[in-house]
Amino acid sequence: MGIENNLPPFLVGNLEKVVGLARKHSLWPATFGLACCALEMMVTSTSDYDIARFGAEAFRPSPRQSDLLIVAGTLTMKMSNVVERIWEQMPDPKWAIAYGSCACSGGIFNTYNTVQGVDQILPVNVYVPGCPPRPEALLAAIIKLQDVVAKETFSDRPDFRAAG
Amino acid sequence: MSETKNMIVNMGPQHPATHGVLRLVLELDGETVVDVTPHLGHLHRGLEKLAEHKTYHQALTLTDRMDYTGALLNNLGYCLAVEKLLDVEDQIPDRATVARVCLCELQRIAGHLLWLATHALDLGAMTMLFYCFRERETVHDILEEVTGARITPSFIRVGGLADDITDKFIEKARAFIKEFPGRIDEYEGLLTNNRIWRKRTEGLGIISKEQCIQYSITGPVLRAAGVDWDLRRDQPYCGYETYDFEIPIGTTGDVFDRYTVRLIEMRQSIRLVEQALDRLPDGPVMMDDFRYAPPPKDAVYEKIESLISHFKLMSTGYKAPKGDVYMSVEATKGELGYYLVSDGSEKPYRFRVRPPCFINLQAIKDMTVGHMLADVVAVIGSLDIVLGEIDR
Amino acid sequence: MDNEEKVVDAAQDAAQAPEAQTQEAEVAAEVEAAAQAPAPSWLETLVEGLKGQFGEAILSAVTFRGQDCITVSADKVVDVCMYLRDTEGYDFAMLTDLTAVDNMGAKTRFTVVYNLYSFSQNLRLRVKAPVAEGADISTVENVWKAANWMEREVYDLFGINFEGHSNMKRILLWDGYDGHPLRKDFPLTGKPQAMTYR
Repeated sequence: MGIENNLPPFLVGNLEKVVGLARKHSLWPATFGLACCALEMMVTSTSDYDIARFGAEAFRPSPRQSDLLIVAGTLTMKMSNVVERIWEQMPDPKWAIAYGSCACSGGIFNTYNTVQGVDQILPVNVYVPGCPPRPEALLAAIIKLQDVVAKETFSDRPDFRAAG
Repeated sequence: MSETKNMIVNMGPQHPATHGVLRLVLELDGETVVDVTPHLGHLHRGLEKLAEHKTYHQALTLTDRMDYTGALLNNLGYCLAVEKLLDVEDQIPDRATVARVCLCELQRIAGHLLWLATHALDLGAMTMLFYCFRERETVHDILEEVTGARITPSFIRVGGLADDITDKFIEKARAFIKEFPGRIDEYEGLLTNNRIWRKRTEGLGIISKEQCIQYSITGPVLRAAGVDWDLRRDQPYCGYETYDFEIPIGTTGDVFDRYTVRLIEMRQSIRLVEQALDRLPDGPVMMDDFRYAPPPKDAVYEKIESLISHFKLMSTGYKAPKGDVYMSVEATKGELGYYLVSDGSEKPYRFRVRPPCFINLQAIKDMTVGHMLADVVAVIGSLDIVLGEIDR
Repeated sequence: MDNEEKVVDAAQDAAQAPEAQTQEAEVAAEVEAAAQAPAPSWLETLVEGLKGQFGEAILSAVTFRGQDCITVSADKVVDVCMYLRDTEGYDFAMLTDLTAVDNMGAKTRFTVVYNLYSFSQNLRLRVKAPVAEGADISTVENVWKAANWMEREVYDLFGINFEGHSNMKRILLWDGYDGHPLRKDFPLTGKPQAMTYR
């Protein structure tokens, strides 16, 4: 942000904690359900599993308003450009969860049109295997991701404008 | 000099209302749709080619992943096709046949609930999402009781079922049957006489009977257009001719009629589940043919011959006789057909799925041209498409 | 003809012989008539009608597991389909499915398979048309509109060109894709592609 260069270090540390707390409790996912795992993702947002407890119920259709990309389902080569474009449209800070075996590694589909894992296209923070994984697994992944988000420091995400 | 050009809008593969990765390129004259070009294939995983490299038993797991909203119906279609090919149709035990009907009708209810939830969500009625998913979770619990999985069970196997139906399942299913008609009344109370719902769905996406038949449209869309045809009654399988249920027929073929037809179908499915549970006989759930059916699990753990037989069937698989069959079932979306060609080996030579959503989607141009952009969303919702089946 | 002569003879005899003899002759005539031929199945009637119209184009008719299938030569497929759709008593109004099979190593490489359904007669029929590699087959789009996308899919995955199709482009894979995946000589994991979809 730039402010961290001007503050004394002990304040920066506390600021990082506050920002991390705010970010981890308001991760807004982008709707990116591709295949069967999308159903489990939808179910996680409903009352039985309730992702709203973690602050993540606002599934934004537009990637520009979201900070979490849950890739749920098989990624095909025809779709890979779209994923890349959506990832690039998301503003920093952004995280990605590969939900389901197909997103982690191609799953049972080792065929001519399937990308063997979404990590060939974008950097993944949490992998959730399963076919499909239970909605509780998605919640566990979000909790794991929340730990990662809370521990981030400002130096992890350098300001690109300040660099050049 | 000003000139007006039509606007080309991309309703991209990543869209909350396209029910998956469907890309529509719309040409708009203001707000009115002039042309629609669907671009498919964003979920084309090569299932048909992959099945040619798997044995008949292994290819069953691929069928779940096509129409993932109603997976047990896909399994049923595939198993019926393979059983016809192997010529073991009369060996399927009665308990398995009745249980198949019960499971498939429960799955049909779950599929229609998902349709209603997403269709209503697209049109703005977000409450329906939560209500329908509450019921869908109950159905998933019931199915998980016997199958062990929620969305991709692979429970209906060639020759019967994978495992027996438990008493707990029957108990839960009966409790569900008691409370579900009241829930459908809730949904109808929210939507059927709702002025906004009717204005957004009536008179939209109309397709005539003759056009439906020309486009090979099947399922609730065909019945809403007024054609009295249901595979369960006209080309029955699994003993459906002995059950007592009605087929709802629509009048105008618009989006509202399709909604009404599917709601009535849910009520009829409850009747079918009740009848199936009432007549569930005792007995085995897997046929006794040692050439194709695996031996019971307790024998596998105790006798060496059963273990060897099980191993051989699961690893190499069984050889199917040479020939080709086409078998179709009435899935939630329409006529789901399997065309299997066998060359005498353990793997299907050609595994063709007749996808109802793919064929129904072809008529989208006729249904949306002349309507407005927001109506495209309503029409897509009423067609009840699942991209896993369209693209395979 | 023999029957009639016998009956006539019996009648002439009956004019002079007692009644028992006439009855015996009549019963014998009936039994012979019944033993001559069983009633033809609907498939046989259909094939006869088709052969009458198209002659050499109808190659074979087979029933396997209760499902009827006729094989027709590729150049007459559209005419046969129109006959099946329009003839009173058959009315195959719905094209349930259109697909192809790659018979690698056989004389003609591909077989295009049409699964038809008749609402009024509640009958299913399969029509197969062998197509050689590189050869074209006419489109049935004008017979059933549903064939439009189904033929595009067959073109996409097998490479069979349908002559007269309004929009012969790939439907599931992208334009510029190298190869036709459902052919038997195409590897399962695919070939490296020069361009990707944009």
